[in-house]
Amino acid sequence: MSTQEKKTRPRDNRRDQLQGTLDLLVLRTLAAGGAMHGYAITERVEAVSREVLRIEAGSLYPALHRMTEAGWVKAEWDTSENNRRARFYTLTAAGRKRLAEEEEHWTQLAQAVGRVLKHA
Amino acid sequence: MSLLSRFFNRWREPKLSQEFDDEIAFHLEQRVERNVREGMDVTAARAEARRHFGNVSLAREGMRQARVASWVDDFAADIRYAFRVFARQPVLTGIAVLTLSLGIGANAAIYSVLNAVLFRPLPFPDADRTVLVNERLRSGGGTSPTIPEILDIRARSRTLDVVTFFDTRDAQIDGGSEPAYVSTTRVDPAFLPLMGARPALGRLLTDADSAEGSARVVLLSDGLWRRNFGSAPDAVGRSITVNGASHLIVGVLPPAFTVAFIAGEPEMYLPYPLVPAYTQRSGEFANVRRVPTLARLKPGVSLDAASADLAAVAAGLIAEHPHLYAEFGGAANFVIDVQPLRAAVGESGQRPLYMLFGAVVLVLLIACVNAAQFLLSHAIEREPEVALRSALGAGRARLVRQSLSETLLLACSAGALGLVQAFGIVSVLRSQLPPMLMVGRIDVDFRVLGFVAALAFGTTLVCGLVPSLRFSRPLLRPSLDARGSTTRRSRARQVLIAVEVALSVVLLVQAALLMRTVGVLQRAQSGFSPESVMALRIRGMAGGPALGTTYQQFLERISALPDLARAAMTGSVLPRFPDAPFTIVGNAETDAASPRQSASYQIVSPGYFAVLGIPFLQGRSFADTDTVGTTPVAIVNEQIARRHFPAGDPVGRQIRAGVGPRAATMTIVGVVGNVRPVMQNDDVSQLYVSYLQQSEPNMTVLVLPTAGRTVSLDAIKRAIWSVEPRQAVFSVVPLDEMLAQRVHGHRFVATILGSFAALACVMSVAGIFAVISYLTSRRLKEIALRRAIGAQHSDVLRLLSGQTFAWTLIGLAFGAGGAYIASRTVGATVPNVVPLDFWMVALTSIGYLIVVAIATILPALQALRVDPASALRAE
Repeated sequence: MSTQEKKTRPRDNRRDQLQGTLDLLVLRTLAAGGAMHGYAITERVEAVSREVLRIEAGSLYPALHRMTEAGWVKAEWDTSENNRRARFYTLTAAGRKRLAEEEEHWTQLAQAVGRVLKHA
Repeated sequence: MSLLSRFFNRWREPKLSQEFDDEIAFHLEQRVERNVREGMDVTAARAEARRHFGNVSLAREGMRQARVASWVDDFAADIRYAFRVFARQPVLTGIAVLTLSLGIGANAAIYSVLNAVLFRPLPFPDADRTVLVNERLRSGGGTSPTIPEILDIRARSRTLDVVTFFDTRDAQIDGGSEPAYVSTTRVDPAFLPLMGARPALGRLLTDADSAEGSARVVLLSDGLWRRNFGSAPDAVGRSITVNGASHLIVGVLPPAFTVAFIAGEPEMYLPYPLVPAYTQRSGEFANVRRVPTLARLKPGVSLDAASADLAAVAAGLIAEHPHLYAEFGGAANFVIDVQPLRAAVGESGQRPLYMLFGAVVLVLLIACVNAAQFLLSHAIEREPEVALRSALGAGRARLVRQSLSETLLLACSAGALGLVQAFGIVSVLRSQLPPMLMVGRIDVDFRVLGFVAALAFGTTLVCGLVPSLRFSRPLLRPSLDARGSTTRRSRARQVLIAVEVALSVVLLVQAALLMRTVGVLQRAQSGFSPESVMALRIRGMAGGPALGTTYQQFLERISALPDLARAAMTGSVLPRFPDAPFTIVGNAETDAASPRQSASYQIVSPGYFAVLGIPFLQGRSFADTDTVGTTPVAIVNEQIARRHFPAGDPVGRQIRAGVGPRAATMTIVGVVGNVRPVMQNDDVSQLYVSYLQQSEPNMTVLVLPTAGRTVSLDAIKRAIWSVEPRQAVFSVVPLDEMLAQRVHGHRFVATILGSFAALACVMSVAGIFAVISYLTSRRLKEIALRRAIGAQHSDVLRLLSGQTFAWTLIGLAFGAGGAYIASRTVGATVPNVVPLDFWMVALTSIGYLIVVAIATILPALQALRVDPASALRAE
């Protein structure tokens, strides 16, 4: 855990939430699409969300590396569809577990927000 | 896992960095391609890709932080930086590291002793289940059981699976260049197996070896086997003459085997003769011979259960043999219980060691205060730089971490240096240990290493915290634009000085107290003059009356030597603990109903009093005519005469004294001055009997040469051998040395405490000197200004040293108070400590104050030597 993260976290709750969502989006996308490189992930999220969600490359790559270190995804250099060397990410068993947790968490959150919108 | 890989990634950074670049480049290319596909020109496509990506360097940094544990780098940088900073102040850094290392080294050394004496398990199997069996009187006092009791305990107890015993004595062996004495342990057959002994050659001792009428056998230690038999592999089966009789060697023990923690270092083991004289209650020695008894608890048995079990055994013994226990007050007062052997072994050393440990912790505290002072001045020195870094965006945590890593560097260097010192101190201590601390080999082992590491980190926290906390307050402009005022912060330093002074005074006074105690105790062995008397031990070989005749002949031959003034023999050199009950015949007050009175009982030759210069107050000494056939006679001391013969007529009266076969009614023929036993501050009753009327094989020959002359040991030995060529002479020591040996424990504790106090003194004075020098150097400009506008030397001195001196006085006051409290602890720890008096505190304080005064005034004087004009022009 670096100092910078530690220092900024308490102040920046919003970013924290987004980061959580970012993990969820990335893990879910990898679960659906098998081995993918970072660029494909951004394209896919944008396409599936009909351009509503846009993933910042500047956040995506640190997140991918963080998840690699955590063991949720595995990274390998391979050849891309247009014959370039690219770094491909695949979901691991631990990542699958994590995804289930994140989904559960997100569902609960969405339901809670939904209830508040409806009844409050 | 992640932590480890992040740690090691630090050394794969170049490769990782390349990967990051490649990954980002690929992403950008994909985007450019897409843009071009959608119809943009290449330049616009590139610009869009970059815009879309966001901040590339932030992304790289984010990736790096995800993959590499950056604290490794930060930490390495911090340490490198700390090295450079310390190198700029080599002298102050040196003082801080050295004092801290001395504190840590002294602590580690004392801890090694503590570890060996109190903590380390004893070196034999199931040591944690092994206990010492004691008899205790609820009214106070205790002793070891007799052999018939031990045999009954063995047969009746339900909680012990081994019960065994031993005793130690010296035995004469013949066959070397001259007859020699070796320390010997007589053991019950179960003793050596309990201690985990396995023979290196031959066998151990068996039940048959102890049985009545069995062949004489002996087991050798490794040392004796090497020395006397040249490590001969065929030593087993050979014979050795022990106390005049041939013994068959049945085995040799391995070099590692030791029973030093309980039985000294025996060189030979003999089977304990389990003959009726010892084992039957009707036997001659059975009820007086008491032997150290060891037992092993059955697995799972608690100490309480074992003690309860033995109390029941004791009750049974009292019921069966009431006459033997009448004097102990019956079952209500007499119990048998167990004590863990580990605790029993460390018992006598425990309190003095804890006290020394307390003292050495104070020393470490002083060292910590010194280091904290140093780091504080260091922190103040660096304030502008820190403010700058903080203004440039360094996080607070980062700054505290850097300050802590500097402290850590300091403490680790001190720890490493301290460890080296600990090795040195331990090797000195090892050769000086008093018997109470000889439990096992004192070593700097892993436990001690762990202790040193803990100390180093502990001191880091203690010393580093103060300066570190400064960074948790925002400090910006004031530090940047001015070299902040020093007085604001000097309060903390002055308080630290007071603390140092107080701690040092506490230690100094305790050391003074103990040293005085040693002096008093040594002088307290009063009533005789040991100067130039030489003591030699012998063990007479003849039996019965012939023994006295042989002794007489020894003394005749020795007295005939040239340059020899007087010679005498005695059973014990000085009065022993008063344990011989006595009654004065015809005195009503000493009936059976009155409390038991005991005297010290010594067997001496007529010349004993003259050799030691003990004065005769009434009557005569023994004469050569006082022998076995004539009236038994005794000499009493002034104490008995005064207490039991108020009419002043002891000579001619009768006294009944002695235990067992020595019990006799004797006529008092003389009264001599009191001689105090060792470590006693009071006079005791003393009784002397003639060496011709009571035979005792273990004797000491005392030899007093003519003033200014010496008598050679060889001449004395030859005189003895001219009577009995097989007589061994051993333990030859000057008497005053032997006496000094008896207060060895006290002197050891006093010396160590004295060294600690000296160390504390030097440390605190060095610390004070460093602080004052530092403060003075920061105020050179101010001093110059003051002098320029007319301040006198005395004003400047008052300014620079006055405050410190005042705080020193406050520290002294607290120290004196602390010393009074500490002296109570010392008094409870070490027996016979003299009471603390006002002058001892006053003189110690004044002496210390003088040294501190010099340390405070010297830097100020130096400051005065600086030319005001040049000081003002500087900067």
